[in-house]
Amino acid sequence: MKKTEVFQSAETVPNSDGRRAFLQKGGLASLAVGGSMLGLLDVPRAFADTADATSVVPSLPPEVQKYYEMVTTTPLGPSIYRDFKPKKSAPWLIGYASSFGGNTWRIGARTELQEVLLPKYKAAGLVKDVITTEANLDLSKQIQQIRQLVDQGCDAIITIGAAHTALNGAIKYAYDHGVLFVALQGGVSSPYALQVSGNYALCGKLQAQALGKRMGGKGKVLIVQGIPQAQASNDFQKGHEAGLKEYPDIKIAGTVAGNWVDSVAKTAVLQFLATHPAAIGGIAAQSPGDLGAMSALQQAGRPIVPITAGGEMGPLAYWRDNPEWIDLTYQGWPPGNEMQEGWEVMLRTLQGQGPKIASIMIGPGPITHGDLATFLPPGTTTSSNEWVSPPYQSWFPTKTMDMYFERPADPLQGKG
Amino acid sequence: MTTIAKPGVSQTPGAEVVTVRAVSKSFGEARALRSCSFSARAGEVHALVGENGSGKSTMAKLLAGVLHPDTGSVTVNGEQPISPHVAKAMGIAVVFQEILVAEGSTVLDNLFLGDDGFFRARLPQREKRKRAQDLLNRLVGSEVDLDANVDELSLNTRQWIVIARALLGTPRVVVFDESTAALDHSSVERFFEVVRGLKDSGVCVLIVTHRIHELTAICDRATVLSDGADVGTLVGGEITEAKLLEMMRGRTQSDAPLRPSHQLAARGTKVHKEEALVAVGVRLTPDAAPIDFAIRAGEIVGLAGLEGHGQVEFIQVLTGFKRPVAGQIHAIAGGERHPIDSAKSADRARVAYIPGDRKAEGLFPNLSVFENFGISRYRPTARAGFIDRGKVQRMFLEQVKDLSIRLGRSNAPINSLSGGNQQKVVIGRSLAAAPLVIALNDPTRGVDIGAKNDLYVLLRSLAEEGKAVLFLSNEIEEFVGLCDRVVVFRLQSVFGTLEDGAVTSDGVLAAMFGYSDTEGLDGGRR
Amino acid sequence: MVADAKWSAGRLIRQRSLRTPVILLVILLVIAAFHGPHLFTSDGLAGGLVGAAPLMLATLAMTPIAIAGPAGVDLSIGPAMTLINIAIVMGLPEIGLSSPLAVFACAIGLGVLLQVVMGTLIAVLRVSTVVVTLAVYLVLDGMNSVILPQSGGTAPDWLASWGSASTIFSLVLYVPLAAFVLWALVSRTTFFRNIRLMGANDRTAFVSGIPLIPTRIGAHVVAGVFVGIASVMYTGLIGSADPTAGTPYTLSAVTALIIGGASLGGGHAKGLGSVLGAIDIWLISYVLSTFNFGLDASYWVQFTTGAVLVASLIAGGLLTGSSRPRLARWRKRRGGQAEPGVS
Repeated sequence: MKKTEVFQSAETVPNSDGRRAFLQKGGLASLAVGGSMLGLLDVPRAFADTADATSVVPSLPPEVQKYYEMVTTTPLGPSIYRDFKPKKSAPWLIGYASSFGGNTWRIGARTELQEVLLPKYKAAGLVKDVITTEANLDLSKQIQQIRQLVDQGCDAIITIGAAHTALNGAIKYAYDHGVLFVALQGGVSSPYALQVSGNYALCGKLQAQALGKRMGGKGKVLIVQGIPQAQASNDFQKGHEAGLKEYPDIKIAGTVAGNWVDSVAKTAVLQFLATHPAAIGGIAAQSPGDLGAMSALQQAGRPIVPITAGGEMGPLAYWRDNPEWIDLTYQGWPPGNEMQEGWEVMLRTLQGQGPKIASIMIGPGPITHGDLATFLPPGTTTSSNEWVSPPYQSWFPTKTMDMYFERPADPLQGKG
Repeated sequence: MTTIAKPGVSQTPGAEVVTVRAVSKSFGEARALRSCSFSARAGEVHALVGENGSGKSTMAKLLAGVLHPDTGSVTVNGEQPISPHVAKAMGIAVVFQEILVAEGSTVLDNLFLGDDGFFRARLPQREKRKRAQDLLNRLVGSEVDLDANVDELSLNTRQWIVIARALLGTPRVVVFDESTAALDHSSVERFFEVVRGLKDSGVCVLIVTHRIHELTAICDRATVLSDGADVGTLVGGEITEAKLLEMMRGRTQSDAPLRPSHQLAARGTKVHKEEALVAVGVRLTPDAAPIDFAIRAGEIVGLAGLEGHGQVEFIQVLTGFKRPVAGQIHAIAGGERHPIDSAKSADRARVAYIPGDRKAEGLFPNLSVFENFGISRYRPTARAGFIDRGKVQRMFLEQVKDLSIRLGRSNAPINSLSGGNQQKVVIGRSLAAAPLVIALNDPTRGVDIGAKNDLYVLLRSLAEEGKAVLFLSNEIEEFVGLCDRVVVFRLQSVFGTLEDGAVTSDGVLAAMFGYSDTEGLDGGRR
Repeated sequence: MVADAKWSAGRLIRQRSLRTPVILLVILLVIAAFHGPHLFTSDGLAGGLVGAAPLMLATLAMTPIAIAGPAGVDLSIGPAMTLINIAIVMGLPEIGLSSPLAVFACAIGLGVLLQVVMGTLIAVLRVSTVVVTLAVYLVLDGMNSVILPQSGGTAPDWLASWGSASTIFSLVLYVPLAAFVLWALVSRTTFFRNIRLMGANDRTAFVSGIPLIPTRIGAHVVAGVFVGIASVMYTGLIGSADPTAGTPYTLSAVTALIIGGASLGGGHAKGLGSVLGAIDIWLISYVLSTFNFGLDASYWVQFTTGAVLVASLIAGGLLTGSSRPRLARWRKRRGGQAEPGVS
């Protein structure tokens, strides 16, 4: 996995060692060779200095500045939509260009959009309708659909987990036609997108720190990744590794890919346990995958060691029943909440509130044992794979949201 | 007609053009040619004659550069045709036995197939069209649309296109491999004129054919191949049917056999009393007259008729491969009646059908000889569903011996055998099931004379063993001396039956054309 | 060819193999006119062109290989486009090149190189096209993710701007047009006719003196040129490098090829048919996107494309009459009627 990261930083971080190493390779023919050789070189990973020339992070209130720790792959300059005026007044037509529809997270987000947000804002006279397209992970199709949404007269378009660069042409097209483009879960390199994202690297780091602390600063940790090529997965991974690094006596026993599917994660962890009989002190898992890791431990007859329970209800229910299991964890990306924050940012921008920065980051929400009584519905079992949804105001208080805008106001009360 | 060959052929008439020296060629273990030599001259028509499997077509392919000799040399004007491309450049044009056209392409494209260079056409389009139209009109005898799709043309026209393709270049040597097979009668005459025209303009013409009477009409010399070797060359007046056959068979009788009557001893009256297969009131079409038919054990019954008059349908109806419009068929074995209404019921009643079109119905061309034999034998010999290969193997060897099938290895592809031997495998497969009734649909088509005679002997011996043999053939002579009776079909029904002494070529032919006043007919039904 | 110069709409529809794609095109355009009329604006057309051009050229690239037959389906095209995309975006800037000339030279060069390797394997070793191209598909698909684990990079400005184009009067139009002209020229050469005749019957072609190996490799060279152009168009669409996004083009292009009337038996495929097939495929996706199917949309697109494919094959069989003999035989069997040959 090291190769992946090195390469990634080489691609995206100017002036890093990785970039220079890549430059030295030069030449078409060495592309393949270069790719594999880079993986062998032990280039120290260089995180970007967020305070680059164009970054407006230092001008943000200190309360939200901390959310930009470890952010490397998204533009941090002033938002191009700072003085945005929509093509027409409310009610607006919204496009949702989904890249695929097939996992629990996406369905959660979509439910929030269709069943909570749309009726509420329709009633307020702010939104006319939402048009949804779906590309089944075919980028060319998603590009076509984004252009089509623009042509159909949408005033704003939301995407989730968009490709890092491939949609840039379509995003520019939207911007050129006066359409606001909001990219949820970030990772887009285009300055013409307004990005709203959790800081997954930071979340991973905080999760790993809490895990390391619970383990007493020593032992072996197994890491369960998401989808190894996905931006968010790499961010989480980066965070997990950084957090664990703070404990010199903690060793990473191995890394497996859970693909954000519990059954895959379970199989991968079982396989790992079968070949590594030595005791594991903890598991740093990305959700969905923490439940899979936990049931793998159960099935293998291993002790249920601390796991970074970051989203699914099952492990949190186990914690509810076993208060000593872990001390603290962080929720990275509740689907409903993320959809809502993207929606609000979009509405505020359409209302001309003026986002200050191209990428709006949200810090991870801590979960303590005391929160569980309110977070978990009564009767939640340890096998539940539903997403825990922190109350929105504790997740992303309006006060914090306001800090990202030049002319903040409550979107529901705002003008069309 | 004498100007078909293009000018530019600069060969001294009489000069040796084609030289084949001690050529051997094997396919796996089957030897197609063994030390074969001959030569052909400019301005002569030279025939290559031989039975099927004697190596004639292999020789044509060697000349075309499609194949290469294992040993020996094939040269044309001192050069070797090492590929079709080179052969073409050397002025060798070969018209193959198969009608090789590029399906779905136009007539024009087919005529100039391979004529153009990689990046440059040899002739401008206008010139091509003109030449092609002129030549083709003369050959076919009517206007042919050059932009028509070849798929939509008749076999006769397609054959002409393939011949025209050979002539449109500037050939020095033209090889016709059975090129008259698909031509109708009037076309054959025009074909001969073409050949004479080529000869007159100094082209060396090689003709590979089975049709011996064609040779005597047109050839200057004829080289006879037997079993892959040249056994002699006849010149001019020496070329007679009898002489050619004698050389082919390697026999010395001056009266070479053609008809079964010359091969088989007169039959004793061994026909049994009991009927083996009975058809009652069978109608092939709703408005055709019903057919009542019976064949007794030990009897050989011929089925004859003009193409499309119902004899083929009838043999298929008798063997359960087709359902009649009306009527019943049953086989009688051991006093029991077994109705036949499907191929499966026929199989159970031990009625065997040997299909006519070997390639389409009888064989799996990609499988080995053994697999082709075993395909219908695995199931009946299987034990608890498992193939008993050893048992099938024994059956196979038995039939190979009985039918004297000539083969290299039993796992060689069936295509490596000659037509006659392929047919023997198909027959052997049926015989291995010990049938009581054997129905053969034109088994001698595409089979050489030697194998034909083997087949007649085989059918006779099967009848002597007490089996009932139904024999459908398109060659009238074959019935004579072989069959006890010949049933002649006309208009989807039986026209008449000739028995014993009445089975003559003239009698059968007359009945086929509907003349019932011929002596010996036992009262036609119509 | 003289005959081909007589172009007209009537002639177009009379070309049997083109009937299905043309009829489908008309149907889809009518639906689009009512349900997504913004297609017929400058923006809409530009979007259509940018979106459909990579598929059009990819299908065109598959065409000579389909013509060379038998079963000439080039499965490698998607990953090949991805590889060239990575080379253009990540490789070329490393050696300081980003001009249109360099990009096209690199794309076409790589395309031809890949195709020549495959063509040589197919022609010389006589391995079936599907086997070789499937192997190359797998190798390239794996290799792409090793070379470039994650999407990134930016295409040269002149190319990246295609993705946000608002007018068709730009390179987005001129490049495919030039490609079509190139196709029209190539398909009129004697060399191309040899490819066609080889595809119609390679035995006949061989014994008639057409050198099969160079002709088959030549078909792949032509394919390689269009793979290169398709890759440039595709890079213009996504404006960056992506290790996997090109892969779906394999299946889309095969579908477009078949809808465009190509016969996988070889010998019969038309460039125009392939382009029409590709436009049809794009339009199916476009038209369905104008209906708000929500998150199930892609399944509907897949379902519809598959249904259209089957329907077009059946319609193609009826329209071109290729299934008539079989129908006749079937009727004959049902009726139990044997036709008398002589009466």
